[in-house]
Amino acid sequence: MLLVVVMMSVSVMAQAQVAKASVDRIEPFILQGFLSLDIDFGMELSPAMREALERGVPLSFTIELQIEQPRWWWLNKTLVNASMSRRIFYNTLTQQWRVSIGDLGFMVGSFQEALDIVKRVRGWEVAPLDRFEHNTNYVGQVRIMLDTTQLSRPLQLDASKRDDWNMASPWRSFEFSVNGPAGARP
Amino acid sequence: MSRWVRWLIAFGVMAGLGLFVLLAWSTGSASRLAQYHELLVYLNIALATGLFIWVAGLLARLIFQLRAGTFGARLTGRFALAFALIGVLPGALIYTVSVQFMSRSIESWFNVRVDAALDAGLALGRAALDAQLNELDTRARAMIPLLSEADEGELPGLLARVREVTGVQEATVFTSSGRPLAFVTDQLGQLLPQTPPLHVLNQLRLTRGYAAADSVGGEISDKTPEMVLRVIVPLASPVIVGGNPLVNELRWLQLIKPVPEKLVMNAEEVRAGYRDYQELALARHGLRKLFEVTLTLALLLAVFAAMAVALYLSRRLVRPLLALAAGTRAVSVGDYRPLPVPPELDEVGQLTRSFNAMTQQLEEARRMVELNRQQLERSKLYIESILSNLSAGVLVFDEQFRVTIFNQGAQSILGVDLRGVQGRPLETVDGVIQFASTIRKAFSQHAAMGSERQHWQEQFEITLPKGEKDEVQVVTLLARGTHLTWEGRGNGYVVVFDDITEVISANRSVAWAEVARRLAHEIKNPLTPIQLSAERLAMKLMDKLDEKDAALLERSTNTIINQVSSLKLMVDEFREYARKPPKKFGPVNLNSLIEDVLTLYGWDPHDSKSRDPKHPIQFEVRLDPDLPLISGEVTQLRQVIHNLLGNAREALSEVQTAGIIQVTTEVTQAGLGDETRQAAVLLTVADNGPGFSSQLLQRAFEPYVTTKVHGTGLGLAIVRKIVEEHGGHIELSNRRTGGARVTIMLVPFATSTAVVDGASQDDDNHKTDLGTIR
Repeated sequence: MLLVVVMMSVSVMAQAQVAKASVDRIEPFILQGFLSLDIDFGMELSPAMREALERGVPLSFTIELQIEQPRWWWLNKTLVNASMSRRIFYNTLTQQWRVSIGDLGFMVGSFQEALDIVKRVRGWEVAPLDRFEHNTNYVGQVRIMLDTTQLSRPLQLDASKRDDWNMASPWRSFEFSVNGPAGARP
Repeated sequence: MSRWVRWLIAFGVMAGLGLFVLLAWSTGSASRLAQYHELLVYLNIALATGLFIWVAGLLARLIFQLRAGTFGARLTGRFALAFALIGVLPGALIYTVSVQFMSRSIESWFNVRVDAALDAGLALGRAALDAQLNELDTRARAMIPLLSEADEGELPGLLARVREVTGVQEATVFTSSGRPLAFVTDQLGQLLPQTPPLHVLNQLRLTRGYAAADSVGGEISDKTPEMVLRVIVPLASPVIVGGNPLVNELRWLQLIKPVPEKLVMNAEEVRAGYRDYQELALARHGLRKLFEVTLTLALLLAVFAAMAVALYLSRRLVRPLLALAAGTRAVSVGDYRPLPVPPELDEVGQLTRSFNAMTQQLEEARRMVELNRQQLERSKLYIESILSNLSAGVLVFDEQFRVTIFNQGAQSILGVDLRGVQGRPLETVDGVIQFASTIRKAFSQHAAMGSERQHWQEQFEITLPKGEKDEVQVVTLLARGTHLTWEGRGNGYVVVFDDITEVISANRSVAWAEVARRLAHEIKNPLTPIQLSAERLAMKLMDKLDEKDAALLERSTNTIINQVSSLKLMVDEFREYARKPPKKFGPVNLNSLIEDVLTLYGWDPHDSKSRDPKHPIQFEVRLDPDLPLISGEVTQLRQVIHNLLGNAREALSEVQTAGIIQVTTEVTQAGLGDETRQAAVLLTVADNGPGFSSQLLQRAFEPYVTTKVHGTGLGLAIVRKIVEEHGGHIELSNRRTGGARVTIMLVPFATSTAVVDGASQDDDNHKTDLGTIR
């Protein structure tokens, strides 16, 4: 009987058409005394996700960021641990696409536009500059993933076992250091 | 099973239950445990695995015990099977039914009709919105001519009119770039118009108008979102604006009207329902899996727990029974120790207590039986020892005259080994056939006579084989036989017999003595006159007869005289033999008496050789110097020694070898039957002659029994008579080295020179003193 359970869970995994996500570009810069980031993601939703969206199920994506100071003598010191949520929603009644970034929501014309908005992060103010020491190397990591915790409970349980409901990019790391008051050098 | 293990099991059961309850909770949508669902599933699987291993272990042990035929394994197995069936079957049934029911019902939720109904509801909502939009659009287009002509300054007034006519919330005129030219609104605080979004402006470049229902925020929050109808129509004529004719922009009229709240609410309701339904539909596979996994886990946990509990419980139930059974087996091999009583006060505990009481009683009874048996055995042994020490022979036969019991006396009297005859007739033993037939005859005669007496008694002589050679021995037996009757029927025969040869011999001696005494008395009287008469006859007639007659006379009278004197001698001997014992004995020094007599036989104390040249006899004399005085009569004792030495010398004259006569005296202790012992004097005369023949040994003391050519046969008879008169004892035997030996035991003069026990010591000493003085 135990075996049957295991086999059932294995059979669920065997599904085609997986979602893909990646971090294509990271551009750190300094804007008004803040460390800011421009990030471009590559994202391709699975047909199952697309179908769910078109049926009015909102999908949330979480962008996570970590900045660490490498320490050769101990574990790295985590300086920044930030995340940002972006959400795509299709109103089946008015047949309109909406994207919300944090509390700010706005309408877009099509699914592709909505996805483009999610993929393109501009001027994300991560942390005030005075947190960083000058001329020190820092390592940052960025990734994007589907936030399944925002799904309804059955879908959530189902999603955790299905590949086409899993979307998470690998961590992409970048290095930077702050060059005095002049600015940041990527 | 110790208390700790019990607590551990209880804790495990509680933990398992709790784990499963948590898992069930975690499946709920709003549960706080939702994020731990995965972990809980794995924990439950681990729990089920643990239970499975436990059950497998218990089962394996049970199977091993069954294979090995361990006592009680069968019962345990049966109990366990029953319990497990009780636990597992309903569980499996409920599981099957619920899984089926659940998958059916989940499928039934998502059918085409519900799908279509929701789609239709959504379409209905859209249609309602569209209808309102169309109406607004129509009114907006109706305004186009009016507004197209107006220049910028007139616009607010015109718009206010438009707003009043159409009843919209907001009316705006703006350029293609999105710059508002004029707007009116009924919202008091609003200072800026709601400009169309970017993508609408983009769309306006391509199309000649825009009509849509926009929801304003709040698709995340639960509160009903506001929804507005936005209609944008182009105004007809381009207007040269102000003094800047270069700017030639298209102008647009935008009307915004809120959708009625009720409509929005209902439409949103439909939308939310549709969304939830779609979500569920997407997740129904997962939903079913979720239920199935939970239910399966429940089943597994229940089944394994039931089996484990079944195995555990059955072992617990069976254990006291096994202890009882082990106790029973222990009792069967004689172990009566009480079983440990289980602390429970239930029937099994009571059973154990009863069992213990029973074994205790059993042991008591067994001990009593054992005691009785030992007592019986002891008394039997005692009787048997009496029987075997009995000098008389005892033979017990059954009804078919098969020997059942015999004793040592019977064996020694009959001179045969009876050990092999037990259970067989006595006739099967060689040498006692005559005895056996005599006994049978006696019994049958007794039965035939129908005597009143219980037993018969018969005296008979039988010949028995004696010794190693084919010698036979005539033995006189006195036998008594009884027919045993027990419980009214005969069940055997008892024969008691005794060798009375010596008794008869003694009787003969007594009779002889009497005869001899009378004969001697009667014969001796006429002998002297006969002798005297014959002498006188010869003296008187010798001269008157001629020579021939005189010689005849002399011969005849000599014969008479000789015969008479020999007759006298014989009569004297007889008289001696038959003489009454002297009334009084005095103290006699036996050693000096022996030395006196030995001197007559040519013994020299310094040279042990006899002086007889023809037959050199060597004397070996060992006389105990501490020999006490004995009580006796000197003349008679001298006669005894004389006779013995004479016999020995005569016996040695028959052999050619150098004869040796041993004479020994010593002090010995003679038992008197009880504890006291008495000192006695032992006189032994032995030779190395031919010894006694076995036949002679039996009857040597009888008168007229002799082996000698010249002999009255009274020698040893007189010796025995004298010795017995002195209160002594005589014994004849043959030495192992060849030759005869005569041993005489005589009592000392003062009977208590040997001190006996301490209690009467003073008294004894006193007596001794008296004796010595006298």
